[in-house]
Amino acid sequence: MSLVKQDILYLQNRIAYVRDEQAYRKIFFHFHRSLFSFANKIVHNSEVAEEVVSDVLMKIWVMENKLAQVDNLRLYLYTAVKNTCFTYLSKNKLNTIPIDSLIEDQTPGIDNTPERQMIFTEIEQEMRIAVEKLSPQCQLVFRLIKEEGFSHKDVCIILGISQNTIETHMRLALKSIKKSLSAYLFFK
Amino acid sequence: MNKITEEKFYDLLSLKLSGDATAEDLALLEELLLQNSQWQFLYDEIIKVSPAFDLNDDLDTELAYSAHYVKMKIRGLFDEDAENQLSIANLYETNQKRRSVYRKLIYIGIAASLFAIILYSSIDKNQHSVSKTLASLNEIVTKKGSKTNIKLPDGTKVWLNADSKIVYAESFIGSTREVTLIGEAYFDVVHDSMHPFIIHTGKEDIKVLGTAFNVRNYPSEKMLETTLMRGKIEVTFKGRPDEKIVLKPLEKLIVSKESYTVVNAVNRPNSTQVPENKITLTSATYFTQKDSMVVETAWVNDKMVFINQPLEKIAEELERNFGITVIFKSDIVKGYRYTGVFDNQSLDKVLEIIQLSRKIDYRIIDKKLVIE
Repeated sequence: MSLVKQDILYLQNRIAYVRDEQAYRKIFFHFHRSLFSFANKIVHNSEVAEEVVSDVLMKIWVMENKLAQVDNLRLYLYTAVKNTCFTYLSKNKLNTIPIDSLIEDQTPGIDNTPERQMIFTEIEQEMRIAVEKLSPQCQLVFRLIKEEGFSHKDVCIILGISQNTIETHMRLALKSIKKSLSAYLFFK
Repeated sequence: MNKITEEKFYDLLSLKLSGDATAEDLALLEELLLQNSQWQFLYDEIIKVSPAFDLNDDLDTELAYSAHYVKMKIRGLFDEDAENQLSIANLYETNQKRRSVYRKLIYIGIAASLFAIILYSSIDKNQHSVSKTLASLNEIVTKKGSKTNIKLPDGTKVWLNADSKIVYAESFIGSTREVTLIGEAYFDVVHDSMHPFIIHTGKEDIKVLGTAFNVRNYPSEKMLETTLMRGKIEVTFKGRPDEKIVLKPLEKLIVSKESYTVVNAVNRPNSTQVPENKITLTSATYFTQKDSMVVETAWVNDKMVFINQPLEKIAEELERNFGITVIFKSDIVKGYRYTGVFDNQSLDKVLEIIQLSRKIDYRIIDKKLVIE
């Protein structure tokens, strides 16, 4: 389900003024997955991530006509998710991000049908591994830029860091990926 | 010199990825690539559009929305009047779709014997009786025809369906929060990992690790059903602490209250039969894609949902919901099957609608519904 900026603004208005539930549903479907992914990367706990995203998306409805005034909904949502996640982390005094990869049964609605499984090439795998070795903030920056396609400025807003920090992180990330791919250079 | 160029390369690449690169940036990037062919490989791989989501994020948005929708409905955020009523025609279609929703059926034979439960009755619709039976215990009871909702000492919200009872301590002290349930309730439990929330339903204890779920434990029914909407719950059986079943969102656990046989676990997709002597782990009955409604918790929003149910069963629901008694004059009619969604309708309306799909003759005298 892909929506362009105009569609989103239109839906925002439908939700804000008409209280259109179908419009709300469309917005939910458009943003939920990527927001969940983003939240999960921060809190490393799918149950909490689900809760965070649900709360943020609920606010969209509750804010009523104020929603129509939101210029960039995507940016707003990511920022809200990030803030809520960090609130959770500080409340639970988690300075280090916990490894919950041991507990598998946490994600809602697991569906292992072939359509949902994504097959990565070996190279993509290598890249993913390299990215995962980076520091949490570095990873977030990289993913927001590469996967979510946010501009540098947007990332500044979402994460509350400077352009310089973003630049530094990106350099680190790209360098790290380059290193991991160097093994393949010989075969090219 | 090389290091600076390399950093410049990364900066430009980063700008390209974020869409911030100007025409000049792109030109310079091209040039750098030409001069440094060893970077071409990295460039090619990075530029590729990769899937944005991790393999670990198995997520069904449809189900997530379903849970989210219920959460919002319960908080009264959606105006019911604005909703479209489903026509009966649509409902027959969804009957077919429902069968494919049962994806996971695990049969495990475990002990689950019936625990004798005594029913009380209470006052009417807008009141509920709160009595202290034992020192510092609260009891909330609903009779047929009425529902209520309450807030427990820790802030947990409970929607109690008709003909049900919940017992809990006046204040939750000690390391756990415990309640006893007879009948049906929907719980929205407040997060507190330091104090597990436990629900006793006779032979099954439900320990809450997550947040929202439905428990259906009517004495007149053979099965005990627990449906998880959000979060995670762990179900254990009295006398068998080592046998735990963890539910994930939108999974439903059906336990036979009668005696048991021990059998090996078998995976049987697409079967809709629930064997009586076993425990079944299945998924919540997802009513329609359009409305994102789950059958098991429809009652919380004052909806009655039947999917291909015999009139006999429907009569039981009507009795409970409207506080009436249903008398069948003939046995054949008991077996007539209906599918329907009734959104806060009066008894008369419900019967009228039932008539549309298959005619029945009936009379309403006082609190009695007589079906010929």
